[in-house]
Amino acid sequence: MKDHFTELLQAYHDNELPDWQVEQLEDHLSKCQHCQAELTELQALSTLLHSVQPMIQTSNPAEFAKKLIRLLPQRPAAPIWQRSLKLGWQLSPLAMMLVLVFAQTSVLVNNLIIGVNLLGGIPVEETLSQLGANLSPGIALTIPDHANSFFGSIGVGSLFGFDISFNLTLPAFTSLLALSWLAGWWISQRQNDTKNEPSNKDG
Amino acid sequence: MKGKTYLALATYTSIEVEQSLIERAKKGDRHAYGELIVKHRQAVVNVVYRLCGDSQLAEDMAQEAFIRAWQKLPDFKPYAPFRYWVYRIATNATLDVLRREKDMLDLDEVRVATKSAGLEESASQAESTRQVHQAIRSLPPASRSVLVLREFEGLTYQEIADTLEIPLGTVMSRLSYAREKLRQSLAHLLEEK
Repeated sequence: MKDHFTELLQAYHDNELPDWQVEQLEDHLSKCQHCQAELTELQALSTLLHSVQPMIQTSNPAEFAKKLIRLLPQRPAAPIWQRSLKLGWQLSPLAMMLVLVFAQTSVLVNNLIIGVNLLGGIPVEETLSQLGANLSPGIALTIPDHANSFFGSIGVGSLFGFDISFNLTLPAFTSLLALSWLAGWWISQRQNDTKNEPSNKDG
Repeated sequence: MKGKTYLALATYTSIEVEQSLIERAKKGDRHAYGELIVKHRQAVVNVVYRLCGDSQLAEDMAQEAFIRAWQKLPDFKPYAPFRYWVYRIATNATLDVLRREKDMLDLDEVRVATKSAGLEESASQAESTRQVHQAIRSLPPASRSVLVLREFEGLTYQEIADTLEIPLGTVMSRLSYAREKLRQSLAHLLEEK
């Protein structure tokens, strides 16, 4: 019971009690000497604590700020999600290059094996079934009709049996991405330089 | 002329102006951040001083808090006042240091600090000041920070809960504990009053 009133008295002392409880507590206080003494002690403690001198200003706030500004890093760090996004963006050309290298290597190796086998007289269908047709997972390997012979496979529109447009599109896309990345990086560097100019002047 | 100055000051202290300063600082404007520092520096120093009882440490921790706040500024959400946010950073930084140093500052150092802080105080008042500081510093850090924010900064329970990111019930229990401990350790001074 005592604890209950102590909590309430504390909230009352801190002006944190709702009105309906204030009325109830004041009614109780008028009758209870123990709670009156408790409240008086709380008030006395607050008075004692406030009698302690606050911190004296040891340096001029403007001087403090000026000194501190010089210690600040170049600019506030971006939020974590922004930093992750930026890192992902910066690494995207590399990822694309890896995909490109993997795809090209798979296709070249695949078609080289097919070409060698064709020279040896083994039918394409049989070779593919032997290889399990899984040398380049995720890439649909289609053999054009004219690829039934090794020399036919390097005919117009294809390279070792693979569509040339695909071979050109991927590098072009990767190059564009790399270029846009470079442009973005250059612009952000320019913006940083512009932002830092005024503060540098102030030294 | 004076009226205009007061008007300018009132405008300066408005929430909108502070929001605009924060937005500018978020974009890297050091001047805007400097204005925020000038505005809140003393309050932050005071909070830290109440926590540690050392004026030099209070200055250093306030500086550290403002540097950390600058670095974390893009993550600041204006749900609570900027000052309370810096309080949290300053409180955490100070409690970290105090935990590391484990009361490295002995009583003599506290005595020097309090004397230099109040040259005009009488000897007995300086002594009671020292005892109050000692009593506050002997509290567990968690209760101490709640007490300082309530008693000296006048934050409401909800504001303390938001600032320290603890439940409202924990604020009340820590405050109750801190006051009970202080009443015990400062009983002789309370009787004098």
